[in-house]
Formats: sequence, structure tokens, C-alpha cells
Amino acid sequence: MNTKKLAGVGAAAFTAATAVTALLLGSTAAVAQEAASDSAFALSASGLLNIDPISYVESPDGNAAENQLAGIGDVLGEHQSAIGVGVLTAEARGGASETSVTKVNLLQLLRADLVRTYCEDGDGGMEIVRGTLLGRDLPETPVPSQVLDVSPLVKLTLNDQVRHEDGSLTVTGIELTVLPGAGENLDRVLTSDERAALPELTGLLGTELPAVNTVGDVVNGVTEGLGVQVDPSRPVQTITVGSATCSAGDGDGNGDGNGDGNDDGNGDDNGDDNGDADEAAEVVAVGTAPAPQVMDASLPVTG
Amino acid sequence: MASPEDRPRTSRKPLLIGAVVGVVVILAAVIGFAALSGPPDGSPSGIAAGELAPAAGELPLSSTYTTVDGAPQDSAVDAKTSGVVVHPIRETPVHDAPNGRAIARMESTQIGDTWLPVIGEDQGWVQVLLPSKPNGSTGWLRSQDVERANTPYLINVHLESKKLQLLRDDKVVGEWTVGIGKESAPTPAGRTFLLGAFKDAKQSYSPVILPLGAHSPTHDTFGGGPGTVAIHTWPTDDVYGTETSDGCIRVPPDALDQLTRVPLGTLVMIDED
Repeated sequence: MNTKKLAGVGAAAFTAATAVTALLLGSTAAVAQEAASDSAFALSASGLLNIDPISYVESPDGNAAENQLAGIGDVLGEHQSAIGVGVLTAEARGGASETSVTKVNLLQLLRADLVRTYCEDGDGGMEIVRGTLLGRDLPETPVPSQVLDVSPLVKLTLNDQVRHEDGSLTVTGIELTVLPGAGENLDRVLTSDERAALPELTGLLGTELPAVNTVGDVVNGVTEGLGVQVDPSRPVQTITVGSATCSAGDGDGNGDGNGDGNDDGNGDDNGDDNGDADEAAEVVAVGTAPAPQVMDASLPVTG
Repeated sequence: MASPEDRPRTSRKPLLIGAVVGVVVILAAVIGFAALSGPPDGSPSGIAAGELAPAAGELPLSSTYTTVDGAPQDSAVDAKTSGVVVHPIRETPVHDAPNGRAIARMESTQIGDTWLPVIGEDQGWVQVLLPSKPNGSTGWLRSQDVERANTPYLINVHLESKKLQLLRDDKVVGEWTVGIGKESAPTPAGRTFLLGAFKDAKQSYSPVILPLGAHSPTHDTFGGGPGTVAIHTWPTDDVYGTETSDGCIRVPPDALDQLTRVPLGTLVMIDED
């Protein structure tokens, strides 16, 4: 296992060491660090290929920190055309962070001229310029936590946002997951279209996928084809492009810095406002709530 | 700018790296272009089959599968609201008061999109009914983490008279005689809401089931589920006007047709009248 620290670029506040390590399958994910307020990184991966966060910066004291890296082609060697990026930047300061990656090519699946992920005053989002997935256009400004799910085989999550207990927010631009939680769906029978597509593709593995009928057969075939043990309960590969974390704003959503003076209200307001229609009316409703979408699900109810 | 010497390196594992590329290419081709059109027809939805225990130190999820300790109780169970409902646009903590203690997490989807009724408001915060146990649980969400909308509907369920009323803009647009829970497994009174709408291939008694944010007071679990109370229809009409269910509200098919079009988050007020 080789690791090598990156030298700081520009700002003296660049403190994070970035390492790229290819680990054997089954090792723990490399991305284990706790989200620090006002931090960002451009790229990471875990699974067959593990990449610790690249261009990671944080601003623990509110001072601006930034990092820029012109690609990681030498990391991927002959595979750089399959996992390619151009310029990676990340910056963080008090209450804000942002990262961008140009010329993104994830395993020939997803391409984009630019992926920008940002977070400021407890709010955030992302921007994708000329993004495509399997040749189809991606939205330029995805709504938060937009999931393109073909579970159990592949899942793409755009603009995933998680608020933390302290009010800070983490925005993850793109997360591409291969075989996400396949263990829950191993018995699903492949559709005829899926099966029809397999023969010409097995050549890419240089192996055969005999008697492929279910998702489990695919997992087993991949296991045998690679000569490594695939743990079906964990994704084979996860790739993250862009992560930005920022501390909370003033909580009123206006970004005006006025605050609301409620910091002394812990536990005091329980139930005081229950059922007060006038209070509820303070909420400015926008439009009529949508009719429900009837889902396919299995939830035993009390009959 | 980092020099080439400064760039991160990896031990060369061409087989493995090549393998994952191969895997992805194969899977990409297998899945074709379905990715942009959502889940394949007939595939299961994203609903969790159950709820895993949270990791140590992690907030529990507030869902129909979970119990959230420390959630403020709804203290105005017979009060209507203005019809404001909210949809979390991101995963966000549930607090026990504005700027109070975080007691749970709320996700943007549960059974389809999550929509919760607003029962209170403070600057920058909304108080909502929760889908988790115990019944009558409430919590506070940051306003900046939710999308707001308005539902013109209200559903009243009167247990004694076994009537369900659907109101739109305060006018009754439908009224039906319904079946409710038997004495040993009563339908819980209180203020709750439409949590979701789903089809379940594993049962045939109702084409669509509308789970509520309430649970049976006597069945901690039922049929492998968490005792969620729901509105649905029934194969025979002799159940309407009776107390024969295990807590669910059984409605005639035409009632279900109308209720299936009512927005999630709509208030369901169940009283003893």
C-alpha cells in the first residue's frame, strides 16, 4: 500500500493530507473522517478502488483555505480515461465551502464539463454543466437528494444533503454506487432485456457469466470473473464527486444575519404552539400539495 | 499547483481497477437507460422493509417503524390547522423545541415523499406531527429544510358513529360509514395524518393502502409490521359500520378512490364522537 501526502497548495491553512490507496476488496471504506464544519473535498472513492478525499480543505478557525489540483491521471494510469477528472478545487472559510471538478468522466458512465458543489450559511446545492449519464442529460441544478436508482445494480445520487445536529450541512454533489446493497435483492430475476445484454458484455470481463438468471448470479459471476470475493451486502464501488460542509446560518433562512434570539429556548416551547392555527398561518404556503404517488411497497398494517 | 511528485499515488492494481471498470460497464449496459426513468416497472419502491437500529451515537430515524423518545406530545388533538404541510428537502434533525435538543432524523422520503402537517410555528422552525411512535409525537424542523405547500383537505373520523368525512375547503365532499378497530384493538383517537399511499403485492384486500402516522395502542407489531394504522377498503361490505378491524379504518371502494387523491400530510382527526 502506497500513500503519499500532497503538499499544500497556496494557503497555509491547507492541513489535510490526501492519500490515494488501492486496497483489496473488503477493506473498510477510506472515507471515515467526521464532517468538520466549513470543509470540502473534490473526489473520493471506496470499494475496489479506495481514494481518500482529494483536495480536502477545512477552515476550523474561519480563515480561508483553498486547494487546487490539476488531475489525478497518474494515479489511475491506463485507466485514467475511465475515471478522469480535470482540475479539482476546494475552498473553505467561515460559514462557507465550495468545490469544483472539471472534465468529469466516471467509468464512461457519467460525464460532465463541471461539477460544482457548494454550501453557505447552512444552505447549499450543486451545479452540473453539460452533465450526462449514459448519454442522457443530467439536470443542471438537481433538487436536493435526487436519486436515479436502478437498485440493486447501480444508484446515482445528486445533491445529497444532510443536516447535522449542530446545524451544519453537508452537500454531496455526485455519489455513484455500484451494486448498492445487492444483498437485499439477490433473488431478483433479471429482465429479458438485462439478460440479453449480458453475453456481449461478459467479454469486457474476459470471463463468462454462466447460468445468469438473477442478480445473485451476476454477483457470483463478478466474483468469479474478478477472482476476488465480492461482498454482496456492500457496494462494489462508490465514487463521490464534490462534498461541501458548512456551519449553520442564522436559522431564519433569510441569510440576513439577524438571528432569531431563540438560543435560550431549549425545552421551553414544548407544545406551546400546538394547534394554534394562527401560528401555523405564519408559514407562507406556496401552492397546493401534490396528490400522492402510489408506491409499490410492503408494509403490513393493522388490517 | 501540485507537482507530479506531489500527486497522490496508488499501488498499481490494474486487475482490480480494470475489474471495477469492467463491472461498471457491464452493469451500465445491463441497466440500459432505465436510470433516468426511475425504478423499473413493478420494482419495489424505496420503502424500507424495516428499520435498522441506528449506529451508536446516531440519531434514530423518525418513521412508522421507529419509536422516538423525548418527542413533545401533541397537546391540541382536537384543533384544526390551516392546512400547511411540509416536505423535508434534505435529511434533517428533529428537535424537541426550536433550537432545542435533536431527538431524531427525518428523511425526505419514506413511503414516497415525506409530507408532514404543520401544527405550530416559531421563527425559523415548524412543528410537525411525526410518523414514529408513540402516538401524538411531534417535533420541530428547521424551516430552511422544508418545502411548504397547502392542502385544502381534512379527514374526520368519528369512532362512535363510525363515519368518515372528507372535507375540502371546510365543506364536506364525501361521507361514508366505515369499519373501525374492535374493542381489543381500537382505532386510536387523536390527530394524525396521511403518511403514504402504496400497493402491496403481498395482500389482496385493498388495491391501495393509505398508512397514517398513528399506531395501534394494543398491537406493538402486527403481521410483521410495526402496528401502523391505515385507511383501506375491504373485500366484503359487511365490515362497514362495525368494530371488527385490528385498528385500521376500512372504507368503501368509492371512498378509497377519493382519499387516494388527497395530498400526503393531510390532517386526519379521529375522535370518539
